Amino acid sequence: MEHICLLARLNLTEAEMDKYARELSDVLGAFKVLDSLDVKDEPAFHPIEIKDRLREDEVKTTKWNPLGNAKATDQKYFKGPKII
Amino acid sequence: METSVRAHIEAVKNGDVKVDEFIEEVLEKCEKIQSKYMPFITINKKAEATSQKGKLAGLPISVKDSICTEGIQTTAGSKILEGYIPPFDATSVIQTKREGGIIIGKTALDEFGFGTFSTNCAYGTPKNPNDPTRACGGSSGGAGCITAAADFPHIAIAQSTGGSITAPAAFTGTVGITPTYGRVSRYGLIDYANSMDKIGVIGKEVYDAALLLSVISGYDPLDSTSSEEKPENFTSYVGKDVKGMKFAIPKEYVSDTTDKKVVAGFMKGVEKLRSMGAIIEETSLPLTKYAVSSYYLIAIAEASTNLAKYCGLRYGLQQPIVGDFDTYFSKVRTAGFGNEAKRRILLGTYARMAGYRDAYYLKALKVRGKIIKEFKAEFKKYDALIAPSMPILPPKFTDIDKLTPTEVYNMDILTVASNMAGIPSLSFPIGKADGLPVGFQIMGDHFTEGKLIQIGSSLEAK
Repeated sequence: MEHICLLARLNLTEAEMDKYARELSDVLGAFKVLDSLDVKDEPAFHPIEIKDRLREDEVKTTKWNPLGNAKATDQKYFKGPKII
Repeated sequence: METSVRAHIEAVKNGDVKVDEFIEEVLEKCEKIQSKYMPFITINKKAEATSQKGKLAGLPISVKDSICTEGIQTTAGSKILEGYIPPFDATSVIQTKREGGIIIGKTALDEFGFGTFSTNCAYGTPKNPNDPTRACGGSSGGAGCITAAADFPHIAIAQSTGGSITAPAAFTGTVGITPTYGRVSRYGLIDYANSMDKIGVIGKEVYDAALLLSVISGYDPLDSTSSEEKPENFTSYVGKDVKGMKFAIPKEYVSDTTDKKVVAGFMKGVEKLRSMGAIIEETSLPLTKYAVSSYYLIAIAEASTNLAKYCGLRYGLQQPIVGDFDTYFSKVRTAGFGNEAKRRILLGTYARMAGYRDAYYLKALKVRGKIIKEFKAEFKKYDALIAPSMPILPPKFTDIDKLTPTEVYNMDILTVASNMAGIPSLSFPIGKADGLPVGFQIMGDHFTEGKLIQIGSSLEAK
């Protein structure tokens, strides 16, 4: 659970981890029904046939301000925490 | 006030309605309904008449809060998006406004659509207008709620991933259409699971739902998965008879796990169709027992990936920046996501981890391939499949609280397979049992919404 929480970037208390661990184990147990099914089919990544659609690589400007919803900004940049 | 959508639009076009005054009155009614049933996250107090022309001239439209609306807060029912004001409209909202529709508010949902009952809501739980001690169904619960409660003409833009239109339509006694995957552009929809998300509609009558679906359907260059299938005027199917059409009831959908009162209500609809000259047989969909597991595996894998982008920097919930990136990111996400969102992120992260991906996610995608083939084989023999919409009557909130996550997920047994296969479905309120609505579900082959509307409107005919 600790490793999954780290990957998911969630801080959980010991008690929460225990609770989720029990629930996850119950849900994953129910998923085991799939083990009894032999599938050789191709995986269906989409329900209908999806075409690759490529557009011309043209520069387009937007009328809206991408920083409009950000609280921490510096000139035309988002301001974020230290990465390294 | 007139509640018929058709009559209202006609009156607006004839100049018989002063739209500004009408909208003011509608917003007052919305406030009253909100204090009673809580269908909205935001009521658009700035709603005003745009055009008195178009297919939706002067018509109030509500929009599920997972669909972006320019200048109106859009939260997807999550605290992590609190305060987010989109600078753009979703394509379906642009199309609605272009035809004269007026956005009156944003409706409540389970956080990001994660729920069957609309009880995982960060901004209040909608109550069922048929009995406020019971749930509206999820995740488009607010859309079903306002459609059932509205004493004015109105249609709702809703959205479904695994049954989020059918469940609220069934529980609130309204008409819901979940279109074929790709029929309606997803541009501007806050993703739950990209390969299954569909924007659809909920209305009081089949005509209403057909009308709004006609407006929002069609190819959109901004959504690479939207279909080039020609848009149709779906209202032209309303009133066509079903004589000679052939339907089948999958026996797995009326099994012992479906409430007997629901089955009895559904059978009244079956008899009605039969009396109108339709041929009805029984069939079997043996893969039904694998549908819930494979659906949830695909859904959680895609959802946990989609939710990775919420890091509290660019929009929505933001806190004072303290600590390094991982510390800040984890702190905001822990504060912003609710229990069910956390549960699905953890499950999806696990299912996508190295060593498990093939056993879970890839296997579920292969099962989806099989389920699509199973449906396609049925549609070679039948015009549509018919079944109850939900396995139970609208449940009491106190009973929902007692369910485990696995028990809640199993409530989706009648809707997940069709949603996973991307086929369209229509839920029609066939009648009541113990004073509560019963939904009748019609499922068709890809891009046969017109046929479903034809069948639904036959059930509506007196």
